[in-house]
Amino acid sequence: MQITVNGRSISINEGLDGEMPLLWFVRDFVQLTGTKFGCGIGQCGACTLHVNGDAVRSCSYPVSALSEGDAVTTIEGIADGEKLHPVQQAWKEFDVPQCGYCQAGQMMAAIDLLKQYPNPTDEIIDQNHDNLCRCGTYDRIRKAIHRAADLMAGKG
Amino acid sequence: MHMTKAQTRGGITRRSAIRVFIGGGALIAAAPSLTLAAPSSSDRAMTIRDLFGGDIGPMVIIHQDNIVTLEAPIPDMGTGVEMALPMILAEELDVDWQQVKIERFKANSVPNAEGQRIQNYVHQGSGGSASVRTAWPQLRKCGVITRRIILTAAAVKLGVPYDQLSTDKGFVVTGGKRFPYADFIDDALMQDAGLVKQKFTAVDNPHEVPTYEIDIDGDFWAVKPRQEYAVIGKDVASPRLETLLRGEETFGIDHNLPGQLYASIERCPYIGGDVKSFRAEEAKALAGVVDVIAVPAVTAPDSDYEFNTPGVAVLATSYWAAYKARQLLKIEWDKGPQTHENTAWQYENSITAFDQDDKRDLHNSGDVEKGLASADKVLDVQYQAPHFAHLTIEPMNCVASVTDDGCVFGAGVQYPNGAIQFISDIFGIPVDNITHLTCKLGCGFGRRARDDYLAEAVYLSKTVKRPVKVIWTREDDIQHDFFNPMSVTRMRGGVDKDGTISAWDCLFSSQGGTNMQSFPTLLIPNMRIRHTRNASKAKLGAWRGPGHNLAGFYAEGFLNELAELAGRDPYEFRIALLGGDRGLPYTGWYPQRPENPTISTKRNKAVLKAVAEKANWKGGNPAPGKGRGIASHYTFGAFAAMVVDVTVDQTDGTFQVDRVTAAIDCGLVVHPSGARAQIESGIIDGLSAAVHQNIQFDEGRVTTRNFDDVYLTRMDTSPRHIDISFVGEDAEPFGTGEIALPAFIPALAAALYDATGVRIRKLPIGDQLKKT
Repeated sequence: MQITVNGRSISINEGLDGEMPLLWFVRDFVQLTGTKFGCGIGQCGACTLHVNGDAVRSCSYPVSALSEGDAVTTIEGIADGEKLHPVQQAWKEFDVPQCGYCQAGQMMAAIDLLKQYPNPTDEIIDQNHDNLCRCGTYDRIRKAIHRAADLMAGKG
Repeated sequence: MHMTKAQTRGGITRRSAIRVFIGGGALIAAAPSLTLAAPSSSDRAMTIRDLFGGDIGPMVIIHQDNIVTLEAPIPDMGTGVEMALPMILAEELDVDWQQVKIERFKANSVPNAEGQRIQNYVHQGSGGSASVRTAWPQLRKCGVITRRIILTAAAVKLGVPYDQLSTDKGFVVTGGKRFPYADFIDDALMQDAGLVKQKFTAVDNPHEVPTYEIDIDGDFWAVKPRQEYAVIGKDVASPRLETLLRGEETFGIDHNLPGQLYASIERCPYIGGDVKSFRAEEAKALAGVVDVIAVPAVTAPDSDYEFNTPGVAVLATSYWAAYKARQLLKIEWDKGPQTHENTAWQYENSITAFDQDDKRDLHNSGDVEKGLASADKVLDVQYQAPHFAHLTIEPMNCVASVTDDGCVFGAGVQYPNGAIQFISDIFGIPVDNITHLTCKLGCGFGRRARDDYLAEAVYLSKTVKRPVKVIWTREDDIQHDFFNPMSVTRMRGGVDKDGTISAWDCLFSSQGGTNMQSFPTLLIPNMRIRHTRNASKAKLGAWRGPGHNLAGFYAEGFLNELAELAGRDPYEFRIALLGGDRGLPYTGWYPQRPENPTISTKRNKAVLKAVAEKANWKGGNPAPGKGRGIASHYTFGAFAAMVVDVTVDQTDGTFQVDRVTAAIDCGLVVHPSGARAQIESGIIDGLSAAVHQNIQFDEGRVTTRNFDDVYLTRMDTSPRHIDISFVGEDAEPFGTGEIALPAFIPALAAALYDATGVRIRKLPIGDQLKKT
C-alpha cells in the first residue's frame, strides 16, 4: 500500500503488523521523530498528527486503518519551507514551549481546531483542545491559538 | 540477582544526599569538606586551545563569520536554562544575541590526583531550583575570562595597549574602529594557558560530584553594571525555539543508535518483589522478537545506589513487536514483603505512627504544651496528602551501546556527570570511556535524577552485545516511579486573647521528610515540629520542591486557620507575625545553599505586600460562589506569595480558578519570559496535584495505570488569568522552577474555603466541595 507522509510517497509492506500504531510506524519506520509518545491510550495527545487533514491520536490509530493514498501530515510537514505555519509562528511569538515535548501534538491539534473554528472563543478552545501539557503552558497556548486565528485570517 | 563489583567512590554521592532528604527529619545534607588536588589534565594545558579543548573559552566557540556558539551546561527539562544560562555568558562576553547559536555542553569532568572526578566550571545538574543560582557567578566569570582572552590577543595583533580596547556586541573597538572577535580567535587560541588563573575551588553539591571553578586575576574581574545589561533581563528570542517548533529538537526518546534493538520490560510490580520464573515461548514466536531475557536489579555491593526494578525484557527489531510480545510473557512473581500495603493501610499506619516513641524533633522552642494549655482558643486538626507521581510527559527511556571501547548512552538525565559516574561504578567502565548523548528532557520534576532507567539499557546492551533502546510505557512510568511521599499531619494550635499565636504543634507522619522549618516556625514562641515515620515501603524520590511542596499546604493552610481563629485577616496576620526586618536562620536543606542561610522577613513581607496590592486584597470575596485566598512560601532561597480567586459551582462542587495573582522574589530575573513560564508551570502543576494526584496502592503494588486514572489539569480547568510580578530584582538571581507550587496550593485551599466554608485539609480535593 502506498500512502504519503508530508507529501513523500511511502510504501507499507504487506508483512508489516497492521496493529502497529501509526505513531510507531512514523517514528521508527519513516524516521520522523517529531511526533511523540506520551500515553499509548489516546489520552494525552502528544502523538497527534493528521490523516487526510484530520487530527488523530496516532498512538491509538493502527496502520491497518489507513487506506491507499492516504495523506499523513506530521509536525515536520506543516511549515512552508523557511516560512513557519501560522500556528508555529504564533507559538513562537508567545514563547509557548517549556520542555516542548507535547507541543507538536498541541500544534497539530490546534491546526485541526482552527480548521473547524476559524475564529474560536475561549469556550470553544476549552471544549475542543484537551491535549495534556505537563509543564502547564495552557495560558500561552490559548493566546497563541487566538493569534494563529488572526494570522490565518490575514490579520498579521 | 546482583551483578558487577563496586568501585569505591570518594566524596559524597548525590544518592546519599537524596536519601538523607527523603529519609525525613534532618534535612541537612551534611557534605564533608573536600580537599582536592588540581585536575591532572590541566597540567598538560600549554595554550588556551589545550585548556578549553579547542574552544576559545569555557562553553564558547566563535566562528569565522563571528557567529557565536554558546553551550548550555545544564540539562533543560522545560526549565528554560538552555536560554537563561547562555544569556548570562553572552552578557559578560559582550556578544550580539542575534549572532548567538545555542548548543549543549557535554558532561564535563576531570580526574584529580586521587582519581576522583571533578566537574569543570559549573555544576551540571538540574535540581533544587539551583541552575541559575549556582551558575550565575561561574558563567559571568567564564564570560569575563573569554572576553579577556580575546582582548589580550587583539592588543598584540593591533599593537594597541590593552587598556585602550573596549568591546561592543562581538567587536573589539579602538580608535573608532571595530574589529570582529573572529579576527583574533586564531591568535587568542595560541596564547599561554597561564593567562587564565585556575583556582580550583571545590564546591560541595550534595546532588553531584564537586565542581572546579576557574578564575582570573582580580584586575580583570570586573562585572558589568546591571544598568548596562543588553541581554540579561530582556525577553530575547530563543535561537533553538524554531527547531523545536518544527519537530526537529532531540529528546531522549529520539536518540537512535545503528543496529539497535528495542526493548519493552515487564518489571516486577510488587514493592521489593522479584521474578520467580517466566516462560517466553509465545513471546519469542512473534515476528521481530530477537530474545527474551531477565533483567536483574543491577547493583554493586557496598554501594548506596538504588536499584532498577527486576523484570523480563523482550528484545525485538521494532518497539511495537517488543511491546506486543511482552503481553504474551508468562511470569510468576515473588510478591515480596509488602503485600499488606495498600492505600488505606498507608493512611492508617501513618496515624498509628503518631503514637510511636521514636519521634524526631525537627524544631522545638518554648513549651508547646504549656502554650496550648494557656491559649484562649485551640484547634486540633489533621491534614493529609497522597503519593504524587512525576508523570513526565516523556516516559522514561534510554538507548545504550556497550562495546569493548566503552559505553554510549542517550537519555534525558538531570545529572549527566552523576549518571556517567553511576554507569562507571556499576558496570566497571572508566568514566572517560562513557559518552552521554545530550538532548532536551520531556520534563523531569526530579524523576530524571534517578538512574534505574539507564541501568536497564546499559545492562541489556552489555548482555546482548548490541545497542538497545528501552522505552517505558506510561503504565511502567507510573507504576515504577519514585513518588512524593504520602503523609498525614496533625496540627494543634492556640491563639491568645490578643490575637497572636500562643503555640503550634505539628506532628508529621510520613515515610519521607518535610521542609517546614521555614515560615512561620521561627516566629512562634512555643513551636514544635516532629517527624514520625510510617512503615510504608513505597519508592520515594525528589518531586518538584521536595519537602516544600506539602510544607506549604500544611503550614500555610493551618496558619490561615489560626488567623480565622484569632479573628484576623490572613494577610494582616502574616505581616504582623513577620514583624520587623531581620534574617531568621533557616535550617532546611537546599542544594549548594550558603553557609548559614537566613530567611529575610523583609523580603517575605515585600512579596505579600506586592501581591496584596496587585490583587487589591481586602479579605475574601463575599459574592455567592466566589472565593479568594492568600498564602506565601519560601522555597530554596526564593519567595512566592499568591492570591487565588475561584468560582465554585454551588451544587456539584466543581470549581474554576478565575485568577492567580503572584508576587515573586527570585532576585534578578535573567530571562523574564522563562521565569514567568516557571511560575505559570508551578501554579498549574499545583492545581493538577491538588485536584488529580492520588496514586493508589493495593497488595504492595501501584494500581494507578495511566492518564485516564490520573487525569491531570487540561486547558478547560486551567486558570483563566495568571498575573505575575517580580519584586526584589536587586538581589542575586535564584531559581523559579519549584517556588510557585508550595504557595499556590494553600492559597487555592483558602479560596475554596472562602467560597464554600469547607476547609480543604485533605488532598486530593475530590468531592469534598460537593453538597451532600
